Amino acid sequence: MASELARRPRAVPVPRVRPETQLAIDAAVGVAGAAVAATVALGRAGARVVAPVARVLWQPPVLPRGLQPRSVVHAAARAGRAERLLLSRRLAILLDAWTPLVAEALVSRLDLTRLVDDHVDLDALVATVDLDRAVAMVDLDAAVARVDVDAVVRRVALEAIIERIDVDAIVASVDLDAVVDRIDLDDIAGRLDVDAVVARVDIGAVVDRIDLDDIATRLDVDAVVARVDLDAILDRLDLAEIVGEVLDEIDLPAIIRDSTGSMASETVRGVRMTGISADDAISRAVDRALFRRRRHADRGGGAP
Amino acid sequence: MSEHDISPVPREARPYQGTPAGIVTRLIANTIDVAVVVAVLGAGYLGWSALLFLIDPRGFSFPELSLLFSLTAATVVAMVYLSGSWWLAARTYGGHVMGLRVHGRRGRRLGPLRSLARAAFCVFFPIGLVWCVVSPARRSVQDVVLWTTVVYDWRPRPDDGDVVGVTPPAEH
Repeated sequence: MASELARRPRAVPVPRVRPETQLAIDAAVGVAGAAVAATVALGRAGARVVAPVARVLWQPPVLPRGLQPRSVVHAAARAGRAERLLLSRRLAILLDAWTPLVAEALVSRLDLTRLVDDHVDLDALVATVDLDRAVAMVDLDAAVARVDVDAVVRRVALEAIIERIDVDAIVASVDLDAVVDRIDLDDIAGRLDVDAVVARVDIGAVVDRIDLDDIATRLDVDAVVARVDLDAILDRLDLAEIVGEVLDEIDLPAIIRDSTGSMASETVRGVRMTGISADDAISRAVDRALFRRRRHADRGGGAP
Repeated sequence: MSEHDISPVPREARPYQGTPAGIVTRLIANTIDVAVVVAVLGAGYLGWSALLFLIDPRGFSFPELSLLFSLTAATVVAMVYLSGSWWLAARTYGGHVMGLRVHGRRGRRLGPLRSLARAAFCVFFPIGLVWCVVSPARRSVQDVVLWTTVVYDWRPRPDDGDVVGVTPPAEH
């Protein structure tokens, strides 16, 4: 388009005039000019002489105002003006009616494109246009508001457009670092509904895809343990209760007895328990003999 | 004893701790104490004999002790041994072996006088022990008179002057 606009118009052939003819024309023009000058000078001289007489004749004092030539001429002028206006209107009506017809007939017989191409310097014309100002004068909002975008989109062959798009080339040309730098991740994170996102995640499927063994082998357990605040953990534990439960389970006294034998060996323990059993047996016998109710019910469990 | 206290007492014996001891256990403990007294008397006799031997080896012969002397010595040794044990340790050696302890009112250890009185009572009236068979609170005559109680207590070293959980006596 730019190359077409820059194309130079074709030269229009100008008819050549012979020197004799040109000389005759110039002489005629010179004579005519002199005649006009002489006529003007004579007119100005005559007017200077005739002017007083003409003023008297134009408004003769002896005649009433209505019969003076000036008044008659003014009246005729007014009538002529009215007639002129009427004719003008009629002529305008006729022109309005006939001009389109004539113009259509003319234009239909003319190659306007050719004429414009031959005679109009489009580059110069465009250069004279202040495009910035023209664009500034356009109300784009109003223009866009009048566009039926849905209809436009329906008429667009999106698949054909998409097929013609080289997405790889587009992506390769994008400076992702610059794009990421311009993104306010904090703002995005603030708007993110993390709960909703997490609720939509299939944790089980995610976990199934994780190689926990591999992660465990790569884990620096020493470093993790070094960062653990063991004191805080111990403060939150009821160590006394835990120790008590452990002692109940492992029977620490038995372990101590087995390891040291300090208080009572198995023999002494057996003798003691035998004595206790014998005591209880005798007490039961005596109770039965004396028809007495059982004693030492508070001993818990009675005799073994 | 709370739920999680550490105790050297075996689980099967814990229910009996602090309860009055019966006749069999006390007889065994007393038998051991008698053996201790006999051992002490024998050791004394041998020591005395060794001393005599050292003094006059040529004329040495085992001393012949009169019955009165022997009984007196046995009584003194038994009373000293029993009263000292009950006063200082709340248990004799026989009681230590059998896991018995003698305490007074409110579970406190016996004082020296009451220990001595109980020792004399036991030496001169040992048959009083049999009363614990028919006593609902397993108390011997000595216990009834001196207001003492013999309880199972397997703890190796009860705290001095402590109060152990005891079954309230049913008779006085």
